[in-house]
Amino acid sequence: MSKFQTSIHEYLETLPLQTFNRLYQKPATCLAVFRLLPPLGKQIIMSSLYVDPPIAVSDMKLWFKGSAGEIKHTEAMQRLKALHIFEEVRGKYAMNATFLEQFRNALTGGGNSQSFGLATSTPDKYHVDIHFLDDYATKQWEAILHFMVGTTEGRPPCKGVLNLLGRSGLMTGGADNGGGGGDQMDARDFASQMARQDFGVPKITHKGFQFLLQDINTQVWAFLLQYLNMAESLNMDLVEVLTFFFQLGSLELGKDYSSENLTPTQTHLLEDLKAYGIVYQRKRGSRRYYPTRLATTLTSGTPVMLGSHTNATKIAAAAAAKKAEEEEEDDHGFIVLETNYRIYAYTDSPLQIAVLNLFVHLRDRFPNMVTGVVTRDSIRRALSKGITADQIITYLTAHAHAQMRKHSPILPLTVVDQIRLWEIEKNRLRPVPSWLYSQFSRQQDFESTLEYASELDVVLWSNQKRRMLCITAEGHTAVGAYVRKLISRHKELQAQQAQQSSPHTHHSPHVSSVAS
Amino acid sequence: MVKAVKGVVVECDSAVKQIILGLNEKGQFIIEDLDDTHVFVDASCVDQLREDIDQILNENTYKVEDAK
Amino acid sequence: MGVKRGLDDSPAESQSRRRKNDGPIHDIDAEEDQDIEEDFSDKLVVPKHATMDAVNQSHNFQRDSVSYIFGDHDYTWLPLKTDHGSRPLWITEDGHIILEGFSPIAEKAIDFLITIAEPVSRPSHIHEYKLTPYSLYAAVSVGLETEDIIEVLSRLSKVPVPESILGLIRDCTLSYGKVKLVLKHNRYFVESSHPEMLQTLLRDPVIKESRLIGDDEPNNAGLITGKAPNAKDVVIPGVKKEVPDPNKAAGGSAATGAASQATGEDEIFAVVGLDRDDDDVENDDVHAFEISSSSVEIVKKRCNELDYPMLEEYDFRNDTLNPDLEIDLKPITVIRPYQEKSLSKMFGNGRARSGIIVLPCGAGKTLVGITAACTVKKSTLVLCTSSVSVLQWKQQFLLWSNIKPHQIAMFTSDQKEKFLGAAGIVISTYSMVANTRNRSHDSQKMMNFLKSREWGFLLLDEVHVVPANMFRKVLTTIAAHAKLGLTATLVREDEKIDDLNFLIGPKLYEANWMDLASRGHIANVQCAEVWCPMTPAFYREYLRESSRKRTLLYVMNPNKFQACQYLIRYHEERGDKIIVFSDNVFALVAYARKLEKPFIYGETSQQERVRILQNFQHNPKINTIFLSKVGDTSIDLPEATCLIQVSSHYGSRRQEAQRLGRILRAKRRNDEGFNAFFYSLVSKDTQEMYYSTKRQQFLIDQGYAFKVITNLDGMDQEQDLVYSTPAEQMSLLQTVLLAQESEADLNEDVEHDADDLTGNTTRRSGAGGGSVLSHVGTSLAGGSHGVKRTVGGLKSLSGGDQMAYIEYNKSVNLKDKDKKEHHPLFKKHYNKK
Repeated sequence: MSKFQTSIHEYLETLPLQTFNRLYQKPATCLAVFRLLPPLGKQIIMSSLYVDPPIAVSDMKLWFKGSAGEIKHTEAMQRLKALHIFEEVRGKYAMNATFLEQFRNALTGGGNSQSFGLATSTPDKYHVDIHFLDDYATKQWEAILHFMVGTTEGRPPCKGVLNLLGRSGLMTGGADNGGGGGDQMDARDFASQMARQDFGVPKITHKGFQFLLQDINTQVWAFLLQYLNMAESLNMDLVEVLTFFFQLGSLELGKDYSSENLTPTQTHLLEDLKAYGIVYQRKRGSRRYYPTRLATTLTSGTPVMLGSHTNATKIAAAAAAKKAEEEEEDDHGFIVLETNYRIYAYTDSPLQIAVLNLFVHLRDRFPNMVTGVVTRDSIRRALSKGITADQIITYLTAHAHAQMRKHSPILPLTVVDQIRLWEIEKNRLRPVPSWLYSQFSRQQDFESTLEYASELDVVLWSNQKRRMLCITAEGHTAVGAYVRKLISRHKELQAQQAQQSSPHTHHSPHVSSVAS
Repeated sequence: MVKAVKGVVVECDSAVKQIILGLNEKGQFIIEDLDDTHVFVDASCVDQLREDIDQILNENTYKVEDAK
Repeated sequence: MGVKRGLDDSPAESQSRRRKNDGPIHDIDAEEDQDIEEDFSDKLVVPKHATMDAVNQSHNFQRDSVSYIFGDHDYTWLPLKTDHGSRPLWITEDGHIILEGFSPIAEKAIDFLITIAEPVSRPSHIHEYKLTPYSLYAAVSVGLETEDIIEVLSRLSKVPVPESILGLIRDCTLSYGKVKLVLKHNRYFVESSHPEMLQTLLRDPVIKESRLIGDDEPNNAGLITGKAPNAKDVVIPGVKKEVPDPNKAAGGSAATGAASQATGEDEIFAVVGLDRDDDDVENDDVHAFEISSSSVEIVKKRCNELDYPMLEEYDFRNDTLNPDLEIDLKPITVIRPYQEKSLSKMFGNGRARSGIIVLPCGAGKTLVGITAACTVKKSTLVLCTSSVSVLQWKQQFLLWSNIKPHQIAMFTSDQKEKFLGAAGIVISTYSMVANTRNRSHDSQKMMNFLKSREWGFLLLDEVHVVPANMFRKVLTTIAAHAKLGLTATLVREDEKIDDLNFLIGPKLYEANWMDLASRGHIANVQCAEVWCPMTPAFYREYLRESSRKRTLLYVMNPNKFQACQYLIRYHEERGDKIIVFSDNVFALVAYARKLEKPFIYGETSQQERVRILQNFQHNPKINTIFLSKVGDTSIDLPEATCLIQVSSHYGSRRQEAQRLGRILRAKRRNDEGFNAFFYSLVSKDTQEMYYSTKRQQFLIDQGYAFKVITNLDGMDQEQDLVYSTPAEQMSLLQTVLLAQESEADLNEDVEHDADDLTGNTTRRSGAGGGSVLSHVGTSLAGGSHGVKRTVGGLKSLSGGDQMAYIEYNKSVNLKDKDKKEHHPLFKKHYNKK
């Protein structure tokens, strides 16, 4: 719940070896996993691909120079091992046999080529071009994002999307369901709740805002990973799902592919992915489908840059996709933040405007620019949604206009400070439900209880002198029991003492019994 | 006899603590005044307390948008 | 004086009540004040368009999912022009103009916008302006025509100018400024290049009544016809780099000032491709009819009612009745480009237009006034706010111009001089002239002298601090042909500004603070708001008090005391000269005594003031002084490099700007990397926070950034800070609680002598000045060694929570300024002033 899993790597690394062995049976998957690796990982694989005997760890180390190289090597190998591409056996690195075979096939075109998608044999009467596909993908994807920021035009997204938003904790449906509740809730329930008018407006969560700040590629993967989690609970075959994702990543934009040889699971999958704008199908059950840019860039590592579905930005987006990353940043810098807290954002994208509206008091809108002010109220509104000051500052920095980038720091320091101060101000009162223990008649009882509670890490506050301590609600049962035991022992002891009438020796045995 | 009371421990800075003490004079909700930055209160009053403190602190904030 | 008010008043309400007595001039008693105010509001007739705002109309356009956020402010129906990238601004339906400050033609666009619109905010990248009836009135008055404004605005805008704005411009400019009141050969003429307008006016019975049929040959329409004036032969002195002959007077050759203005405008028009034929405009015929001098006021009022407000112009070159004054700038005096620009707005058509010039403190307003006087060359009356200012004005006149000392006279409670000769200069204060009660015989004689003559030029200093009723008194008492108001802060929400527009004239020019700072004309200032947490004991009392005592509690907060002490220590070690401001006199005295620094407030005698100020300027041992609000304006201390505000006048944006102005002229401003410092110490979680944010708004819109410092780095390790023990704090609290309620009143520091702010003769013996000075005096006597300057052991000043305060090249502030003060390259700037 705390960390939002956005990386496909992180996800893959959690999978067991058996799953990998099944995954690596498809050349497209091997290629996709390869493409997702950092350059060094790629290089290691390429260097070892045609070296048949396992490579000694010490030999491999010779490929790297110096201590910096050593660290890089360790990092890269750790990742490769986590992906079960290599395993370390008796001081040697051995490449996974399935991976080795199928990856060679992927490179040479051998084996079962179907994993790269089956091209249709006949031309499509209703052939659509790349322009159309970009438009379609943008529209579908932005509809989801719009729904998240609460600016949906017309109908809300379909059930599948709603499920995913709720389950992943990107949105919260009701007052009682604070972020993490998604796990326990049945997916269908959430969708029906979200769709119901009387349920109130679903709200974006802290996680959801973090999601919005990502580039599209990361967003799509985050969505797909969430889909994988859900697939498991719906008893879909994980490997089939993953394989299909990787296959999509290897397809060519603008070409149509046959849907006839897909498994039932994959056919179902296709249906859902249409809703996200990852694939296009003219109508349900059509024999062919088109991957959109969202699909074909899944494993390519190049930014998607769909931007917005207006003409001006789309052309820019298409151009930007080809550009190097640092150049591309300039294209996307559209926000000017001034020392007087005013914001001028060069955008015509309703989505970007809706995102800004989460934390800016917007004022004027022109065809290519909106103006607004960052105010205490606008920031507090965002904070109360769970959006953090850091997220806002990160967003503003990431999208700062080229004029802003001429200065260092990019954002006016005073405004950044103030946003943080507003956040601090909001957390001046920190209430924690708890139990207050007091009136310990003996210092020893207090001290041993404190010691016990400290070990359990349930102490919120304590004062030796006043013999008082606050215990978390969770810790109360245990500490309560401990204190009761303490008291009853003490009473027993007193009873014994009364019998033995030896009043001066009761302390030390008592303490030791507590410690044991 | 050890006593255990259910409630909410509130951690705050010393100024907010003073405000809480002031509010307590009107409606008693403090179960135990712990120290300069902690106070133990009745769980049912926390939301109201938060609101009251917000209101008091709001009065010290100039809102730029009012003027514009 | 001093209406009782609690802090539990709603701020807006108390603010408006406060306004009545927030000017530092207090010699008119409250009741009289009231009467005049009411009387006045009846008389001040604002033309009806002046109250009109651009109205919103509803438009049909494609609304989308986010349109609702903007309501009426969604202007997506305004289509972008295809080449919008090369145009620098947008304009909204309610007259807001948003300008890209980074556009290649921004500078020219700014020149144009500052003429037609009010600057709203001018930070680094994007500026905002607002079109108002007043700003358009001002535009017309400096010679822009309706169609010029529309044409240029359209060309600069990325989107079409909305119909409502076109309507506003037409409504406000078609009748504005088309009728002028001209004083020529000491006869008043109502003049216009549009005869039909004069005919309209003459149909009004009141105006008809006032008309004089003279000897002039009337044309067939019954009007006198002549040629429009032009600027061809007016010289604004000081604008030429090589002034060969300072005595070359008005009759001289090519007009540099006015001509350069024409070029400047041409450039804008050229940029946007508008051809304007200046000759056509200038050679237009003008028509006029004469009115009697006794009915000037009535006609002016009537014209306002008829929505033809008259501009006042003084054709000083054709004034033969009033003797010329032999005055010019000294050959070495050179004025800066923005000073020249502001003056060219005044003398653009060869006559003197009445109006207001707005320049930041320290940007040389005085020189602008003196240059204007040197251009008009007639008897001049200068009015300022205090007798110290009177003295400073006189010195400045002698410094920059060739005026003979016997031609300048001062009229204050101490000085009642007349100048010798037919023409001359008198410098006085508003209160001396406006005050009608209890005049001494000498004063009365002096007043008769002032009243009996015609003044060619009336210079009004610090117009923003003077109540409108006082202005009115002055303007009805003094017969002046041209009026120039000078100010640093025409804080726009102040309704007084509207009055000023019609009492003096439109705003002719307003400089950009950041721009002047970046060019080194005024100092770069780092502004900071230091949050001082209230100690629990003080805060407990604060929460209990519902009266003015609260003010005293947050000002006397021990943590604030310590922060003040710490900052003084820190900046003295850096070699800074520090002024600490406290509006609250109780706090002022308490702070200054505790920290052993000299202080000046209302009751401090003139000699003591001079002595303290001189020590501050010249004695290396006296590096910090405490001032009450008497130091807000007019005290000129270019040595000061650091300001600390301990208590202030509620939410007064004007005071904040004035105080900042105290360090803008810092002598060392052109040292590379030099920064001046401006601190406001604010007690956290008190009403002071509200006021502090409010106060900053004007400066923030000028592009200043206030850094919040939540924790002064290194203060916790500082040794021997005052009030560091609970016992000391308790005793301080007792003192505060025992203090009279009235001690909390910020207005307590009222001058007891009627006439000025910084000096007086009837000092009341109080706990004040003398005793403090006696102890300071000993320390003054002690040292004649050089100032010890060491790099403070403290790291750079930093904010709390990793918010570092970036100061580049801070060692510069430590530079030994005595040894080698300026690089020769910069010497020139110092002569310029």
